[in-house]
Amino acid sequence: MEINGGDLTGTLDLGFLAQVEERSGEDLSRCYYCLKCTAGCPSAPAMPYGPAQMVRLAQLGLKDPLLESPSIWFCLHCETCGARCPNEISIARLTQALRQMAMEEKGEELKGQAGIQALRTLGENILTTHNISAEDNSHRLMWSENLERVPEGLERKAGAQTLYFVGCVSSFFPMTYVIPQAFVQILEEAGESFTALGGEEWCCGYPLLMAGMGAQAEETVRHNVERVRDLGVRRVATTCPACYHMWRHFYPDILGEEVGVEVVHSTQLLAELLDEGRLKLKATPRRVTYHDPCDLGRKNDLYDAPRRVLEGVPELSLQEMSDTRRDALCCGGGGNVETFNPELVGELSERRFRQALETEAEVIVSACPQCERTLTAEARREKARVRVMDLVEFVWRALDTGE
Amino acid sequence: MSGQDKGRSESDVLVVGAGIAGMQASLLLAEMGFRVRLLDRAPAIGGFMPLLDRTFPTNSCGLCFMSPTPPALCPFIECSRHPLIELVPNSEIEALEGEAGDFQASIVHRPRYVDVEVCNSCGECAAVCPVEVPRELGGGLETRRAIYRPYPQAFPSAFVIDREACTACGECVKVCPRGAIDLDMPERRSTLGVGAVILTPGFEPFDAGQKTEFGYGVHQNVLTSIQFERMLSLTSPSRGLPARPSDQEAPQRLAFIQCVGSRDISCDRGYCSSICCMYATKQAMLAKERLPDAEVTIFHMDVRTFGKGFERYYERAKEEYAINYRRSMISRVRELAESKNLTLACVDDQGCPAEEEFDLVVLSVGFGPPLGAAEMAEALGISLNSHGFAATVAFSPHETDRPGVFVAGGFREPQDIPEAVVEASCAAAGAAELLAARRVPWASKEYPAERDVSEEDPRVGVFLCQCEGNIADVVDLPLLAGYAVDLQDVACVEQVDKACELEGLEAIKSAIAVQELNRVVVAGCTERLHGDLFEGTLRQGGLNPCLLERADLREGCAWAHGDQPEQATQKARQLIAMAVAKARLLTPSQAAEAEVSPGVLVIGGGVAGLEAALSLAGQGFFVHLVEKEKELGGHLRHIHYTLEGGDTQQYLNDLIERVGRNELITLHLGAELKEVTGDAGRYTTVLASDGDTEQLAHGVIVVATGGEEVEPNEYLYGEHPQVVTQRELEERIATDEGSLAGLKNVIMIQCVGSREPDHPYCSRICCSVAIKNALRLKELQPEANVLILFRDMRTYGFQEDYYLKAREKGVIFIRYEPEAKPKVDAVKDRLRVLVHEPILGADLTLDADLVVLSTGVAPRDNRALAEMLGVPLDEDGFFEEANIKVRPMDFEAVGMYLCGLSQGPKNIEESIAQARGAAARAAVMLAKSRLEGQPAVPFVNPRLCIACGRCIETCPFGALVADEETGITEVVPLLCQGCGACSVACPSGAIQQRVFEKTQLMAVLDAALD
Repeated sequence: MEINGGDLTGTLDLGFLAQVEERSGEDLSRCYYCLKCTAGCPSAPAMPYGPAQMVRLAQLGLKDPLLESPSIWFCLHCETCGARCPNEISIARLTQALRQMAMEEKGEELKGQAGIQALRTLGENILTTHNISAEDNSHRLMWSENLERVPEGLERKAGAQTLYFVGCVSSFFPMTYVIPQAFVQILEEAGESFTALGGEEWCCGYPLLMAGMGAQAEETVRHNVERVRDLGVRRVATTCPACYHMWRHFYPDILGEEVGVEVVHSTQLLAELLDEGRLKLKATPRRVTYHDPCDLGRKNDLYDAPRRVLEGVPELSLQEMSDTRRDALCCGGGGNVETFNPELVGELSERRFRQALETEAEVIVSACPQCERTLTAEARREKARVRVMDLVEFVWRALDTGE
Repeated sequence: MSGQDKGRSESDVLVVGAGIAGMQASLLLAEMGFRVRLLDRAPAIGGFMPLLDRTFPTNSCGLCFMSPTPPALCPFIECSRHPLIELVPNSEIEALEGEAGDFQASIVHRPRYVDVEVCNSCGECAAVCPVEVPRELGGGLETRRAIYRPYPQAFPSAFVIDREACTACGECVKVCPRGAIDLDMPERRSTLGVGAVILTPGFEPFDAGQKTEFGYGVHQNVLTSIQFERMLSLTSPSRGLPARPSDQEAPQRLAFIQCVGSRDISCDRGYCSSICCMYATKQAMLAKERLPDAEVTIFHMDVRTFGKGFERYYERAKEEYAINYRRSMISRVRELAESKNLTLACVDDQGCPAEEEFDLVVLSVGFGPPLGAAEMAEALGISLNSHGFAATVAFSPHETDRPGVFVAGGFREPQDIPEAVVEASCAAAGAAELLAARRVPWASKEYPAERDVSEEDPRVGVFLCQCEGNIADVVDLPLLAGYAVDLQDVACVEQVDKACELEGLEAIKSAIAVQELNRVVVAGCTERLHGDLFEGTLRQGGLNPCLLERADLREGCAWAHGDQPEQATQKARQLIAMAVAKARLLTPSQAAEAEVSPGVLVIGGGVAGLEAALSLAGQGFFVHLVEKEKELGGHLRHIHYTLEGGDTQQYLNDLIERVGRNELITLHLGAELKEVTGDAGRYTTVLASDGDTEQLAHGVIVVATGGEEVEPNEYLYGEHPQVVTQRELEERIATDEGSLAGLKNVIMIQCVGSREPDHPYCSRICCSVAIKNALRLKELQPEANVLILFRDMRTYGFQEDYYLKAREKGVIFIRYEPEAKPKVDAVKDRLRVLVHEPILGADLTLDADLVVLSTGVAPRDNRALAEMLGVPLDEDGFFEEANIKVRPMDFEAVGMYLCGLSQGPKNIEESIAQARGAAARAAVMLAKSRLEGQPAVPFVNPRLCIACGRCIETCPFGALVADEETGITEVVPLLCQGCGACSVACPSGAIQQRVFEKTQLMAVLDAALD
């Protein structure tokens, strides 16, 4: 069936829909166009085709306008759409697949775009240097050099209980060094047997998925899993929710088998250590609010562990923002959108930051290096007297070490 | 509450759940002569009914019309007082042993902690109770005490203790003047032998808190529709005015969000709850009536106003009430910190994200199965469907998979009141068929001969009821007694403790004899209550029951003005004066009586007629089934399969075969009605077939004449061979599959001949028919493109599952608006369809090799039959029922019932339910075998009558006819329901009504003004 709708011309070809559904794992044909996804999408105002329109284009087989549209690069992967869709469709998963398809099939047409070029460079960096910053990967533990005392066995101690998978952002952005620094000191304080991969840690591969280069992620995934298996650890702990999400959900998909070790996020680990009485916290009479990272909250239903940790801090007052937990606003930092539309990211981080200010909190606690970067940048722009801090750092500062 | 069969541990039918469906089924069965136990988990009967102040599509409180025996009373009162119905509150069924006809039900009776027989609802207990908890009625908008009455009119009318909330402080026990409270009351168990069980446990509203994005329970000004319904009730704290919980201000901008917990597989509610579009429209209209300046917006995805009269209601809401219907679901509701206003994340007309501010938000929550449904199903050994509702047998919407266990109402599928009434009646028919042999014939009581009082001077006895302090504590009865004694013709005044109890009734009876009374005034509760008790007492005393008059000192005085005793006494004094003034002038009147001819005439041999005939025959009544064609089956002959996959032809053949071999059914094929004469209960019908005529006598009439497909006159139908109707497509799918081979592009167009100026109603079934055939096409030709162009997809209830399935199978749905209907062009032998695609905002040109028109359902030409029967047609030409809400199977005229497509569009199972329901309604009249009129009939003064005929036109019951020669009005007493409309219409005062005669009413007015 020929479809002729002015700019939109094509052949009604259910084959394209089937292809998109297979690549994304999303049952797009279920959509009944209630428009809830568009209504709630933080990026939709900037998108030439909104979320529901992307589904319609895919359904009608209008491939070229869809794959050539900037809309697919504006998705933050915040999963607000998927969390609320009455037909359980995630536009984030859709755009993730469309990005792959666009990179594969529209390489030439898209070449001129600066954003695409930047993503390509990012992807190539990951594939060659194994990190997002094109740094020397052997410097992955640079952050530990400032520590008063580098923990024993930090690098690849065989037989350790827990492997700390640090992640690119915390490894290479000095602004977030404090996260791994605090985390390893907490683990030491708790007497946890742990280690890290050091230069053998490669990018988790998530940025490749976001850049439409997921097909090339297998090497890095296999590398990380093999190194972890070599050490015989019981579990992998991350402080980065994206790494966590990647390890938990995409690693088994890409490998075609279970990873074989437990994957936990630092917020869960902290809650566990507190429950077991392995950490003591001192009174911290501060007013804080907690920002749910999208990768941790909506994508992994991890809402309670970080709050349990904060509620375990004596004299702390936890104030929820008006949009919280499943309904938390994205900080703007997701989906590599920064590469394409920094103005949009700025607007979104400002909106989230204002919600945090309304709680009159002194500290905005999050549990994601990317959220911390985005919100800290906003705090600086606004010159606001509020600290942005990862939960790990917050707990480290509240540690009662008996000294 | 004493009945002839109370206290036995056996009964005929156990009805589980006392909401609208349960009350309807119980009343019907009891009226037929079956003993019924009506059980409910709650402490009072009524279900959700007490929540409803107004009902759509009439916006009237029509529930009191629900009654098997008009003139109607409230179903609460009828159920609570029917001698064959025993209420079993606070109870649940735990197990069911045995088999159909001989079940043993194990029942657990939860303690109420208050003795129903002792409590007189004085309320002193609640006044001292220190515990305050949210009140169930209205979704916790108000509070109640731990000892409470669910609502003021609750039956049983005793208090109850909520032991979860109760702190057992014992204060209530101390103050109860009658010692009715027992905090140690134990749980009891009993076993009940019954022949059949009817499940009507209702439904449970969706917990809106699950959808966190709407902020229910977090933002003060976000309410559920249950709460808003309560707020709109005139008995709510705001007296029906919408008010924001945050500041009690009237909202100026009001938003409804539809499908909260409906059509949403992410919360396991994949089905449509069917009624939310209509109740939201009703609530929006009521809100707008009470706050005319308010802006009301309903956010939705499809407006599903598919029932009879609903589409016009929706149009009225848009046109007359300016309700704004917005096609956008809401992603998030946020609260503004200062104003507590709410912003809604929606999309604008262009499909772009937008935020809009409102003062109050109502979440239109859907309905799930009742709490504990899974446990109940297990206890009863019945299956549930995938959504947790009761599963039913194909083509038997009332039968669970356990024989003898029937189901109706919200537990079967979310539904509106008329459907619940129909299904309950259908289930009652099922039970009545099963237990036909156990039906007890009605016996009327024997009374002494009536004394002739025509020559006596009036001697009025006035009985002042203390109602155990209910009245005496407020109204000064000794003062009134002194006053009444001096009224004209009053022979005696007596105070009684409780007039309605044996002692009180005996006092009245003995005073009639001793004081030689010939008129009686009972001054106590409302005349809505205990009328037959007092009338019976007069009859026992040898007086005609029309010599009774009532004065309402309780509801009208003591309860209404409890805090103003002096004024209450003053009002009571006037009411007594009025009652005595009228009583003096009362004259005896006899209720007409007639034998009911035993047979039934069923007109129409389609699915509805066949089912009605079989049900009535199954209940032991003989049936004349008339079909004007030579063949049975009607419209169903053209339907080959159902949406759910049922084989309709096999079902039809089976039905015809069963009718054919039923000895109680006489078939009249190729026959037409020539004449119907007689009245309710005694009809004579003349049939003509093949030139012969035949005369039939029968007691009741069931109209089941069916409907037809709208003939399309657009989209090249009849001009191009590849433009067909759904029925033609179905015929090809079923009988000529080969002709569909090679089809690549099929486009279906909805609402052809529905929701159009010529046929302004929704035809209800076309959406599901299109989906049914689209799914079949996809099965036959998975590669074919199937597109459905629609306005609103109205796959209500569980049909939504198939809408989802069709989408999953790749059927593509494109919405069109009536202003921009699709266009179909022929380009050589190919078809081209132009349609505006609203999501992308693009005008699409699509190729098609088959265009299928989803044509509506039209009425047949019913005018001649309507005139012959003296029954009305609605504005669309379908037969018009007595009341769309609560009497969807009755004509206003006594003894005539309707069902199937003749009443309005409906699917097969709905037709079956209505047909069997109509059979139950008809059976009530046939089972009594004697028809009794009411005594307040009109009489005509022939000297004053000018033969203008206005009274005849006015009478809704056909109870008045013109004398053939003189034109003077004559009364058919059996048909008269005592409404009094005739005497109002009469310009010359020639027609008056007994018990409400002009002289009597003037005397009442004089006494009131004295």
